[in-house]
Amino acid sequence: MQVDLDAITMAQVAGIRIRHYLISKELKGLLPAVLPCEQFQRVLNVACGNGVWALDFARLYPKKHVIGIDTRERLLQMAREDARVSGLKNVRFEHFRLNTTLSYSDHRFDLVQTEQSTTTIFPYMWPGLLCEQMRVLKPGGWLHMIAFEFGPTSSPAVNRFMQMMREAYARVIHAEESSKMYITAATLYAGMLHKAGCQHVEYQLYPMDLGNQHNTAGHDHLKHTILTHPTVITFLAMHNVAPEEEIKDLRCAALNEIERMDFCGAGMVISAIGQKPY
Amino acid sequence: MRVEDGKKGGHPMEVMQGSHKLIAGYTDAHLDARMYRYMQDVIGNRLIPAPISMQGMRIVLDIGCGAGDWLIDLAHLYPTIQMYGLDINHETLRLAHDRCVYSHLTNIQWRQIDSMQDVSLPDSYVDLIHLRRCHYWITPQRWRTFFAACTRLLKPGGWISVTDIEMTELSSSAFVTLRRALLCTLNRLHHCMDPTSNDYGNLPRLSCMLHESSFSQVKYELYAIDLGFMSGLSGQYFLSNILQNMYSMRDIIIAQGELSEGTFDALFSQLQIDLRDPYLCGWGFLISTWGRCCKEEGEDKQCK
Repeated sequence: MQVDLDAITMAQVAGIRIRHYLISKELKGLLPAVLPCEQFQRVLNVACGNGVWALDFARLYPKKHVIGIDTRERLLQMAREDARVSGLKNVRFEHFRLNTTLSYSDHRFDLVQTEQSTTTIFPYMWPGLLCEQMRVLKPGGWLHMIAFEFGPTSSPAVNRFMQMMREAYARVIHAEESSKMYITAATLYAGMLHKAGCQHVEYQLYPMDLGNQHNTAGHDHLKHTILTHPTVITFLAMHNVAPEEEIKDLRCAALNEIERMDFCGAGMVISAIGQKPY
Repeated sequence: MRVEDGKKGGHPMEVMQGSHKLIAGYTDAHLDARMYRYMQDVIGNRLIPAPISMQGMRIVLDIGCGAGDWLIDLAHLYPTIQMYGLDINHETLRLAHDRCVYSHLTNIQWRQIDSMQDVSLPDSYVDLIHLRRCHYWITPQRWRTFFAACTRLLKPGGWISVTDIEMTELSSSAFVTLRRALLCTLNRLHHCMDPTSNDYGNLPRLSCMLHESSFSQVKYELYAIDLGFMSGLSGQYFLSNILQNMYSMRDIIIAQGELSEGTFDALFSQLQIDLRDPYLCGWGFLISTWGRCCKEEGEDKQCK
C-alpha cells in the first residue's frame, strides 16, 4: 500500500496542534496548576511531535531550557525550523528511539513531560520508558503524563471506527492472546507512575464535549485525528480489523454523521503527575 | 460479599434496575440514594437545568422516580407545585411514600406503572417531565413511543429534562471484559441503542432523541464522573453500582452464551480485587439534556 508521506506529516502536525490547543485550554495553561512550574529550569518533553508544547513553553519561560524528543524525524525538522524562525535559543529538538536508553545524564531534568502518542508508544513500552525518565529526573523532580481519550458519540459509524481502533491496539499489544481486550492506556498512567517509583501521584480529569453544540475545536479534533488521518486507515487495515474498502466506507459515513446538527460526543483529557522521591 | 439471588430472567433492564439483591449490606434504595447524591454533586447540586424556569409551573412529573430522592428535594423547594412520581417498583414507591409522610410533604402523588400507557393523566397537563438514569424507558424499541407519550402529557412550551450516566473506562481488564460481554448480551437482546459501540449508546443519543421527537431548544451539558482513587466515597458508590449491575446480569450473560459460568465468576472475583487497587483509575460521563415541547409546528409562540 502506497502512502503519501507529506500528507501523513501534515495530518500529524494538524492533529497535534488541535490536541495541544484542546489540552492547554482545559489545563488553563501548559501544565497543571498544582505543579511548581517556577522551580523547573530544565525540562524534557517526550513524544514532542512538531514541538508545539516545547515551543510554547520556551516562549513563555525564556530563561528555562527545554529539550523535545520524538521518534519522527520529519516532525522534529519542522520543530527546529519553527524554533529558528521564532528566534528561540532555549529549546532544541532531538531524535530518539523507543526501547533504548535516553542519551542524558542522571538527575538532569526538573520535569519530564510526556504526551500521548497512542500509535507509537504502547502500554508495554511504558515501564522501560518511565524507568529511563526517572533516571534522568532530579530527585524531587516531576513526571507529567497527559492524554486525550475519545468516548461515546451519537454516530454509529464513529463508534464502530473507534471500536476498530481498540481491536487493532489489542492485536498489537496482545499479539499472542487475541481474546484479550484493550484497556485505555490513560487509565493506567497513575498506576505506572507509582510502579516507576513516584510519590504524590495524582490525576485530574477534564471532560470534553465533541458535539456540534459547544466545542468546535473538540469536534474538529475528532474529525481530523480519527477520521481524516491517513495513517489510521493504514493502521486498521494492517492489523486485519476489516478490509480497507470497508474502513474507507465507514470513514465516509462517520464524516457525514458528525456534521449533523444534533451530533453529540464526549472525550476526556487525563493529566497524571508523580514526584521522584528525594 | 454476600449476594442473594433475586429476580431472574425478564426484561434485562428490569433485572438491572429492579434487582432485589444485597451487596455488603446495602439495599438497592440505599445505593440509589447515594448515587443520586453523588450525581447531584457532579452537576453542581442543580435540580433542574439553569435555562428552565420554574416560575408559573403547576405540575411536575418524575418518570422512574425510584425512592423519590429528586422529587422530594424539589417538593421542599416548591410546595405549591403538584408533583407526580411514577415507577415500576412497588417497594421503592412505598419507601418514597413513607419518606414523604415523614417530611410532611402533601404535594406529591406516587403511582406504579409498567409502561407509559398506564399513565392516567390528561393531555397537555404537565409543565415539566423529569427522567434520571432512564435505561428502562429509553430502549431501541420504546424510545419513540416513550417521547411521544411525554409530548402528549406536556403542555405546549412544557419542558423535559433527562439525565443519565454511563461508566466507560476503568483500569481493570476484568471490567473491560465483563462490560464487553454485557454489551454483547444486550445487543443480542436488541437492548443496546448502538450495536457498533463500546457503550450502551443511550447517553450521547439523548439530545438526538429529543430533536427527533420534535422538541425545540434542545441543549445538553456534559460532566465527568471520576471512578478512580482520587474520587473518594463518590467513586466507591459508582463502582458499587457497577458491581451490582454486573452481577444482576450474570444469569442472562451466561444464558446468552457470552461467558461460561466459571469464566464470569472468575472475572467478577478479579473485578472485586481490581476495585481495591490503590491506584485504580477510570471515568464515566453524565449528560443532562433538556428540550421544550413544540406540539404544533409554528402554532405556539412559546416554542420559539
